[in-house]
Amino acid sequence: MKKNLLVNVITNNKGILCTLVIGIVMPLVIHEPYVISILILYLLYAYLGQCWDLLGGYTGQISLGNAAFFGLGAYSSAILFNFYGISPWVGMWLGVLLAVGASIIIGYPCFRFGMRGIFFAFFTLAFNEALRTVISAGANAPALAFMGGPEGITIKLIPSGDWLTQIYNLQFFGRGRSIPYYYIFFGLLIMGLLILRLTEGSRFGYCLKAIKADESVAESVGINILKYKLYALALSSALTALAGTFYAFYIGHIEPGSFMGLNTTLHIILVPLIGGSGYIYGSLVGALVVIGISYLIKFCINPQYGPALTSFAFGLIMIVIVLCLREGIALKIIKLRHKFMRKRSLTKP
Amino acid sequence: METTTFMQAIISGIVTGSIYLLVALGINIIFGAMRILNFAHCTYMMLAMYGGYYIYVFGGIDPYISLLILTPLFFLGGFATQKYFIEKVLATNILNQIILTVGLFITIKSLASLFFSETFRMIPVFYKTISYSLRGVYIGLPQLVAVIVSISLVLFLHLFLTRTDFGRMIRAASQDMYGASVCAINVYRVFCMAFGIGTALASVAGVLIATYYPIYPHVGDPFLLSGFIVVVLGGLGSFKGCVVSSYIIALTESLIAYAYIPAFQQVGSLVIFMIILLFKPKGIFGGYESK
Repeated sequence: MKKNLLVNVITNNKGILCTLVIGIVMPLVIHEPYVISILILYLLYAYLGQCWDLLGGYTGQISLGNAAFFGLGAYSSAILFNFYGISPWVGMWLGVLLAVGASIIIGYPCFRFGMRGIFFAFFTLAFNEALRTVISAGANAPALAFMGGPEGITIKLIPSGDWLTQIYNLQFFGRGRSIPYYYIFFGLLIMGLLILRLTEGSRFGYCLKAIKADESVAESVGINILKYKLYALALSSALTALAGTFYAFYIGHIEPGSFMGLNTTLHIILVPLIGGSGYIYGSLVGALVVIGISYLIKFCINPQYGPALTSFAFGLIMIVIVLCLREGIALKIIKLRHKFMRKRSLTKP
Repeated sequence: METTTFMQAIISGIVTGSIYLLVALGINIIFGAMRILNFAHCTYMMLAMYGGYYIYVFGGIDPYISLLILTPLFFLGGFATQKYFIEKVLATNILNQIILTVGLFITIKSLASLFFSETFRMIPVFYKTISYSLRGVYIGLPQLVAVIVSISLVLFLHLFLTRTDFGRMIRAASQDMYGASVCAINVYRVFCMAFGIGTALASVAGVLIATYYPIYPHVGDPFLLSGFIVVVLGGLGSFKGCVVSSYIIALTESLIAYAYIPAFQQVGSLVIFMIILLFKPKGIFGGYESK
């Protein structure tokens, strides 16, 4: 019986197990730190895409303010670490709390008063912009100077050879410094996959999908849509804030422009959108495309035109995806495969 | 002295408000017709500013006269955008609509920064420095022109929407798309026209501020955000609400800049927007509900 259960779990989660094995083996095969840093970015975007997908792909509420939660996580833990010496492992929970609080503050009035679709999207965008302006205003307002203004804050380096201290401070040194970060982000990704997997098979997930399909029908069936939407929003923002903490300590420097700009949000949204929103592995595929394109342009094109060309490519991808590839690459491939298999099974016997 | 600065802040609020009014009316007409919040709206404004600049530099034509060329051009541009892009997602869900307009927004903006580069430009018109003063309160000639042109344009647009057949068609299609199509209105054509009018308004706003504002690819972003705030605050699809709330928002911003910190002006308007929406979710004058 017990063995059966194990076999069941394994056969039902082949994709996650494959990802787990590939992810663990990857840094053992590739030692080049630069490649590892690209992989870390890939993992980060795939994870952030999953967080967005929980709200956008499963619940159908489009948030344009995920970067704000990312920034909240980064800033709160970095400020606690710099000024009070509190370990980021503790500090990140403040970021999570702030993100949940903020998401309830924006989410409750929005969902309570029936502001759907565009209203919610714009409300989150406005929240993001307001937060970013407040943080960048440090140069003019002395009360906000501790957040560093538009230049941002640099996280204090505490060099240490002892690996326990390194883990405690989340700062790694030496030649293989990116490998622990790689495993941290990989852990986040697996966590995101598991959360999506659990969501998909549970009552929670079905409620979210029902809300996405039709809110009024969902409500008439007896689903408390306000509650479930708030849960989805809070979960998504809390997970995003976690990633913010880790990324801040990996980069070592936080800037409001790059952490909380509209561009960050757009990259986050693009990931599940390209891969296929509302599908577990969509973000994994989407992040591959997003990171692939941005590095391809970085390598091949004159750096002077790099950023503009990258955003041009992303804008074009958005238009193309909406006009002719709405379900995303991953789901398209699956559909094509099904079609192919059906054809073969029809002709063979 | 204090009152003079205060009055100066009010004047600058009115000038900005008139520009917001043009931008927001464009967004509002598009939203009213199709329930689409057009993120690409202010890129048209930016393109119009560049258009005015290059026509002035290469053709030597004054920006205000180049409006005669630019406005029809932008009307056609908006018409084409609606016909070839927006129309395809009208029947789908909101995610697609948002992503499409955001995609257009990014594409146009990055193309502009590829071709025009990121440097700040100014149109060196001779009347830029002319200004009038009344008891120590100054207003520049381009700003005065902007206020007068935008207010008269808005009056004209109001007459157009309420007194002509075509305006009635647009309003009918906004109120009930199906009902309008039953009454033999080609709804899709009307939508194209509405989008064209919206972009034409954006181009007028762009040329009006191009005479006193620096021109760069990201110039539209703050206007986009403020335009959205104005539209949502006034009530989506409501003409009167748009006029009132654009001046409310602009005056709030300039008064915050005068009283507190310039960097906080947008935060102030965002906070006011959030608070008003909490008590009147449909905006001041009420409008259509979101889908």
